[in-house]
Amino acid sequence: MAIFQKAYQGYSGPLTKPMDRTWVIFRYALADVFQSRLFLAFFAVCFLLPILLMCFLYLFYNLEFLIEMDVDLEELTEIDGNFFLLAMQYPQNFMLFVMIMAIGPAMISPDIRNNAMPLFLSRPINKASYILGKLLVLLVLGSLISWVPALPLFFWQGYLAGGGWLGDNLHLIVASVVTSMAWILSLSLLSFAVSAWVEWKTVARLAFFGILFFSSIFGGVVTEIFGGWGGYMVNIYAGIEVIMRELYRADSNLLDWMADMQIGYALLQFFLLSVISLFVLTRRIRAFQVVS
Amino acid sequence: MSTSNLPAETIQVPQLASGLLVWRRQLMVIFRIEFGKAMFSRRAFSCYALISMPIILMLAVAFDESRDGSNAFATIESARRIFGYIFSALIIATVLFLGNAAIFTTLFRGEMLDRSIHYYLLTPVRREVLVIGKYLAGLGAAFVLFGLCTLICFLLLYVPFGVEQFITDLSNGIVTQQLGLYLGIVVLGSMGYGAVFMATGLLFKNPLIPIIVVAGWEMLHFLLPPALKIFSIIYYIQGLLPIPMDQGPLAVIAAPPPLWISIAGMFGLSAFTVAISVLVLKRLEIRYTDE
Amino acid sequence: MNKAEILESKLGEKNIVLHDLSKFYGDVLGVNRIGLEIEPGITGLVGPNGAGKSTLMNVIAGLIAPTRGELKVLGVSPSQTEKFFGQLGYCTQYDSFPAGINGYDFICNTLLIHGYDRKVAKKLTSQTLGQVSLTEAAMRSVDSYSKGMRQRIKLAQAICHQPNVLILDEPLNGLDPMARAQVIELFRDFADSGKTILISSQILHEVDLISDRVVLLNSGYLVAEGDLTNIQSETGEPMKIFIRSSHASAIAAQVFEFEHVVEAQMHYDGEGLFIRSTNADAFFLAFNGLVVDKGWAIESMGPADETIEAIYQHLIVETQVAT
Repeated sequence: MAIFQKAYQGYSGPLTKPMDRTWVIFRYALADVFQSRLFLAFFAVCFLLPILLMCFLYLFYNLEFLIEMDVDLEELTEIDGNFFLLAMQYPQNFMLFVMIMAIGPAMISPDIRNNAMPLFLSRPINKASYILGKLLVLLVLGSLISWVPALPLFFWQGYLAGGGWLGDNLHLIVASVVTSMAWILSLSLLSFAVSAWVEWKTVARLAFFGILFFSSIFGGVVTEIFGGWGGYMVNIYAGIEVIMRELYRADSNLLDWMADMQIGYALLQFFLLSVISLFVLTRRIRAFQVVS
Repeated sequence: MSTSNLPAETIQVPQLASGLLVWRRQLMVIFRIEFGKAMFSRRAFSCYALISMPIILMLAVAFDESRDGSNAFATIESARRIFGYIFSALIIATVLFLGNAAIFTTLFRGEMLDRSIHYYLLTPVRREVLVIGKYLAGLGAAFVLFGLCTLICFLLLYVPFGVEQFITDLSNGIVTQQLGLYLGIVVLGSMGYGAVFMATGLLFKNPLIPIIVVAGWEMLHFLLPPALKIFSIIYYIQGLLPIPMDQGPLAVIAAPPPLWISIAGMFGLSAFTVAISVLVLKRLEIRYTDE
Repeated sequence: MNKAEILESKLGEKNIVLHDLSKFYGDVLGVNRIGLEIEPGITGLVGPNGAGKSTLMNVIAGLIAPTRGELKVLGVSPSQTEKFFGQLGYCTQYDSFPAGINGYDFICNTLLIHGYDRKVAKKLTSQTLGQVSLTEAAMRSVDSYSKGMRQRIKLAQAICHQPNVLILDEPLNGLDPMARAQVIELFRDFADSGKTILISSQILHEVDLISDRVVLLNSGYLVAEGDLTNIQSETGEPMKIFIRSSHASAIAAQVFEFEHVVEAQMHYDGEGLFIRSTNADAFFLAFNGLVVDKGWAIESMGPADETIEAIYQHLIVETQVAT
């Protein structure tokens, strides 16, 4: 009798659900991310801003403190969408960019470079669950440093302001969640696409930075020469600025420098960027090695 | 095993040349190999993508007739001004900067990532020759790519005005003077950025952070006081622009350096960083870790 | 002078000299206080994974600077780049190549950087590719090569400039039996022409087959060095001797009268005998007398444990088990 027949018994028990396997990819990718102490420190720093803003709001509504500090109450600005956009969402977007630049390109490129894709995809894991597993890491971590800490801030502001502030400004919660998720999603897909294309994480990080850097300057030059919305369509950050401004219902003069185009174009830009990134990703993530 | 694969007879190898002759040979071979890599490898794709952008933009401007049937290049002066703006804001600030980062950072770091730098280090080539050969190859590739981009963009400037205007400007010396300065800026910019990025690629395992720092420094140079401006490369090359650009209301104005200082400055910077690169390479140990 | 005579005449020259050489990676020990003098011929470098073989080879090849100690190859130190690398070839363990290059250009470029003019470089390239049986695949991208072909092209890169000292880190990995035999023959030719080869391999019987001498490393320390007979005698272990004779059982009964014989074991076919003796020279002397007295016919007789495997087993495996 062959050894195969003697010893080998194929597994015939039940399999986990496909989504459970996605979580396996997620768990391992998340553990990888937190192996870096530098990232851990950065992640902790990201929570400083919401804490500082909470303190600021507390002092803002503390009349005794304001009188003691000799603050002219007439001159105090209103806490509204403009405030949250400039003080919270804008810096958070920068932190999200840094976070995704640091960990996004490092998630897929080593797997491709080390020819690990055939190993992943020879198991009952498909491209979609692989990408989703990795993407979830960025979505979860990005959420934790953006809209998740923003929520208690809104509630804190609503509690301190009273008088139905929260009811009047419920759109800020939607604005924070949607803007953050859109920014995380577009940057994550772009970073994955670049890292799948370039294969080296160091070079992928450089390329990711280069694309955003170039798109903003190129977009600026196009706007300067032609005017209109064409330049903003090229500038990746301009799209998110428009979505952000629309959802926060921001109208302050302080925001005049921001990109100005119809939200439809911004959504189209977001859609196109995601589709192109996904196209590159699905082309590069494959269960076989291509030898040139 | 085929008969064609049988060991050949031993060749009587002539005595190897030594000294200058062999250094020159090695320099030429390294230049050829590295120039080929910078121009035709997969990594060169980013540079071609970069240089295509200003060309596409110039094409769009040159053939733009959307407003009242008039071209964005209404007059030859406005066309030169727009080209100057594109050159300053796009070619210097991004194409030259990012392109040189892509070419020069990968000269050494790319081979370390590929785990193939040891093949060079196992040959009897002096580290000085290797660094200079790679640097010159990067410089050559940068000049061909970005110089070509500048040249094409400059020629596109004349599309709405026809060949007559070009010949007039050529005979007046405007073309040679302006194109010479623009190409000179490309060479000097590539020398400066190239030297810095080559050393960055050797010194840092992850060169992204130093590149971002240099990018920030160069982009904000207009805010710097004159004493600090001298430490930015863009200060030396922007002063050579044939059509000076407005740097905005917040800019700290400083007199541009004379031409000879710009040239000497970039040569000095190149010599300094090449020397540092040689020292680093001499101490380099081959221990490929995970990328 | 034939090849064997050339090698004979060169023996005694110390082509690779390491004096009290150590390499530390921070707090981690690579190799420690290695003192070696390697002569022309083939020297096998043997040790378990993590013993420091590759570190030692990288140091000898000038890719890593020693933390302490001194290294000279043919009297030249690695800081004299041009002289040092002109006479040394190194086939590394790294299975990587310049991106997109084909086999021919890989070798030809190496030779051109060495300083050969194009004509000579082309001739040497063709010759070397022939030596490693890659003539037909020369124009293909190295990326498309099989593991064995990649190993051979690395070998070609190491030998193309006809170095006097060749360092080979696991050069037989991935080679099929025919290619192995061919490459081993190539090494033998090299060694017979008076050149020095240092070769590391995990395949002990192959090292045994081709090495004139052996260097044993363990945990970064030099465990043993020299030819197998010397190492075996220095271990102090009883020597194992195999005697093939139709009188094996009679011999077994008699040899226990010698006080230095500690063990006798019959071969499974009954026509052979393994003997362990604490004094091999005394055994051979006494046994000769016995054979003459008894008139036994002896087919063959010789040491049975002068193999790297036996020495490896004794000096490394048993030590590790004991500790």
